[in-house]
Amino acid sequence: MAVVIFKAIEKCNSNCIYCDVIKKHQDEIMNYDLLKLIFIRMNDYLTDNPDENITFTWHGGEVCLLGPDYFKVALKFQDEYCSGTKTRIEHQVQSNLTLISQEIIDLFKKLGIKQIGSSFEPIHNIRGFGKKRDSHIYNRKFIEGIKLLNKNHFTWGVIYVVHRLSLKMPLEIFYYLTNLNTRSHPNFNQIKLFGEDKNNLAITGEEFADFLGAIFPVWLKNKDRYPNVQPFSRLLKNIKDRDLSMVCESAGICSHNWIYVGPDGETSQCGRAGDYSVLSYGNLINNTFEEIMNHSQRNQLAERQTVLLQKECADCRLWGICHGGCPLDAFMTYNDFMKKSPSCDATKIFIEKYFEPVTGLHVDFSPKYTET
Amino acid sequence: MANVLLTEKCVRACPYCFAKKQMDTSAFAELSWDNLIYIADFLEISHEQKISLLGGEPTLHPHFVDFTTYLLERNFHVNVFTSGIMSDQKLMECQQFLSGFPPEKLSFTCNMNHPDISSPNETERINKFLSVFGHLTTPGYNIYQADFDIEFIFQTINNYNLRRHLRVGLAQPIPGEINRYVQIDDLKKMAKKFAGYFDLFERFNIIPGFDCGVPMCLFTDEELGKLFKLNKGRLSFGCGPAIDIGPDMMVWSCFPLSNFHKRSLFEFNSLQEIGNFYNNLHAKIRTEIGGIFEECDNCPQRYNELCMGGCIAHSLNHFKNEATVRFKEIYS
Amino acid sequence: MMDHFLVCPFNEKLLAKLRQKAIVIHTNDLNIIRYIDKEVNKSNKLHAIKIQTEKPLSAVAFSEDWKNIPLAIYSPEFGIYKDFLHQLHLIRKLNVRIFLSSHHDFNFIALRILSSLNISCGLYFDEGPQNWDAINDLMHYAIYSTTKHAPIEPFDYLAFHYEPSEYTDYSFVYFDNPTKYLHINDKEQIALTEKDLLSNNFIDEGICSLDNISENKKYLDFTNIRYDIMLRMNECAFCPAFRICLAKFADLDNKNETCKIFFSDFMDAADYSFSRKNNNGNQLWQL
Repeated sequence: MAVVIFKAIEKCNSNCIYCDVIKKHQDEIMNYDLLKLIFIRMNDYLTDNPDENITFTWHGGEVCLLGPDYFKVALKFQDEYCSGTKTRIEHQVQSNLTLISQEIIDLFKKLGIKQIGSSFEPIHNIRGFGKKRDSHIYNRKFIEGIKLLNKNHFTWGVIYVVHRLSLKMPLEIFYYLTNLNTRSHPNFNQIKLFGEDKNNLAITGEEFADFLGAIFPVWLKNKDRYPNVQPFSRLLKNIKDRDLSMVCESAGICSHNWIYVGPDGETSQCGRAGDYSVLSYGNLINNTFEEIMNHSQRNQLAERQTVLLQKECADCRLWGICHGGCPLDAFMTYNDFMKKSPSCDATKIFIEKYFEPVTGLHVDFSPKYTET
Repeated sequence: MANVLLTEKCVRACPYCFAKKQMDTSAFAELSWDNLIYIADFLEISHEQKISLLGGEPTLHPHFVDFTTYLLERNFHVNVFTSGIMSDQKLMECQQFLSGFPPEKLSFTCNMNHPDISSPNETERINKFLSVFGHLTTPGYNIYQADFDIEFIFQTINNYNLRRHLRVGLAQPIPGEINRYVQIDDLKKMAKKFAGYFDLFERFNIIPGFDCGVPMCLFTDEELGKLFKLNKGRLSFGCGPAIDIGPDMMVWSCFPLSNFHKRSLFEFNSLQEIGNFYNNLHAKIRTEIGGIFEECDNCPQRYNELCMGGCIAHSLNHFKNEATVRFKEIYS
Repeated sequence: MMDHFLVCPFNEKLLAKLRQKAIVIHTNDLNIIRYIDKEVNKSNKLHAIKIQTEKPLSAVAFSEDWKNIPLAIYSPEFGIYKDFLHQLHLIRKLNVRIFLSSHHDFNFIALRILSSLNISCGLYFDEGPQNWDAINDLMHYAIYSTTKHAPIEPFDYLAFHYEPSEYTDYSFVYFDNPTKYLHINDKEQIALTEKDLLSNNFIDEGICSLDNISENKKYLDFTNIRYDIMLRMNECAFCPAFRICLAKFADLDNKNETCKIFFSDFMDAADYSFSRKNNNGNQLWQL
């Protein structure tokens, strides 16, 4: 299955302190001709690959800045150019919800969207409008957005980016986010900051592990109350049930599944690759989906698994649930895709310091147990 | 059945009192409402619908009538062990709220002392009590010396139309303490004296019901036959945990053993668990010593479980001056 | 029949204007209960009569006439057990739920007494400081006790209706959630809660406005009030038990030693109850 991170716009109405996208200062919005081409390319790809599906994730920047007309046009293009394949295109959305309207929601419904991914921050002035990151107004608009979603029976969930200021209040943040949304639970991710850290927000893997570790025993005791808090639920399922379903950075199979499409049609490995402007696979104007999905540079990424198994990760008992982490993290840290990600530390510390002692489970996904 | 102590206060100072130790060392603890509710729930979970209220003197508890009616409303059969000695006001209150209950729901066991050791005031109060509650009352008598006189009880049963059953208790030693009880050497003499009343029991159609802790061999075969008939075929020479619950929610096996392995009620989930706990303790003691007589070790009646060898409190007294080398559980 | 239940005083003029409504009458006059039942049921449906009395419960003169009338009696204290005993058998025959104030210590025992004697009962929270330990003990008894007993509110309501993925408001027990109950006075002024009615905080006026009340902005704002609390980012927003408390005690000082402990335990009890319901009484061992 191909996952398209579709960024028709990289502008945003918010000024979130850790955002990599807005740093690109990309004002362009994908024009309708290019938008049409996207759908044509997808149709060609799906026609040539009858067993394939595409997950088309509207991303940004802030997608609602595109306005309702843009989605009307997208719908029209899909109907016109993907009439035989649109049932194999699944639309998803990531939005900060501060600009969402009933009109946009109605269009999302027509695109088959029933849930929206978002992000939220209870600590002030991390996510907000303008230079000073006014979070009061931002939060009010966010709440208006979720009221509208509730009214339309949309589900929504948040990713929470853990940063230095979060470290002093892990449980409070956990309770706040689970109070805000009792049905879909938060996904805790470590802040990724490469280069200058002007605001001193970056945290080490150990600090992230400790943040998770403060929450984990509470979650475990009450996991029926909070069924889908990530990364806990997934890890527990992987380890206890040996039911291996992982996010991209742990699965080790991202090389040929993802594609980023920018406002000018430029493509890249995935959303983050596009944000960092690395791993360019050419422009959709000149290349088909097929060509982009099979770009030779992807093979290098695929080879990473073999290289890691022979070197850094050879004896690692967490291999099967980590796979060396995200290649982009490795590249951004060491300028080398063939290294393991620094987030491996976080995983290891969390498992050894918290997961195993609290659950009593022993984790062994070393290469010899996971080779098929 | 569980025995629940409502209070440790008493109106008398009986020479044989099993509870003397309990009352001497207490600051007159009284059972609280929430603990009563807890006990009632505990017994209900244990499928036990019979409860005995004890003391000291249970009617001295300020909420005695409230507690009793509450338990009755919860469909417990309540038996109250009382001296019958209470103020006129208390008697009126009891009469107002309790006299209408049938004997299947409410009963009293009135422990009587010989008039010679009771004051005229005490006797008058007991008589007043019996005139109101006689139809619900079984008389009780505790034998604490070989020579005793219980003729007055037959008279009392007839005068006040009491239930035709005499609960006979044998005062037992409290291990580690000095109290009045029938010495082992005097037990046969006591039994002879008691057998002398069989004719009266028969004549007045009164059942002599021995409490626990009496060895079978105190009686001849002929006396045992008479006892069997007088008890309408229900005769037992057992000794086992009675389960007492104090107002402070401590539990123990029975009053003679009230110093022995006391536990908190909250440690247990059911009455059966408490019973098992103390039964196991008793079994360990009886492994060390069969009964109160040397002959108990080889007694066929003990092997056939017709007799338990007398009160276990006597057995524990055997160990009091020796080094603690036996099963550790037999030492408190 | 309209969806909302109306909570109003006994006023015949007002009742005459209502048709086919479910009604809760609040009164403190014990002498007119039978009359209220008759009058309300002429053109409407009596849901319950909420009787607020200053007398202790044991001094309330229950009547055989009250049989089959749904009653909620609010009394500040239990009173004398022996007096209560005289009426126990009658009370058991009535369709009554007895509420006692949280401000009288013996009431916590009295509620256990009532519940263990199979009389439905509940605690109502008077204004001011609470005895949180006693409330917590009572909650534990209500939910964890394995002996058969009548429900004690609001604990049983919450345990029954609780779902981990939802917010659960126990105010329904007190006829006080505007998604179901609206409060109306003699002048036909409408309020969302009893407290609002008493403090003249009305959202609309006139019987006819009841038909469109679901579109009333203040009504809609109230149904989303939890989000306003989240926005304020006060202690309640960060409390693990928010989803069952919904900041009812937001004005309390020292929440860490008071309501937070109780409601956290309450939520554990609700989870336990939910788990039992869904596992047919078996609690699957937890990892």
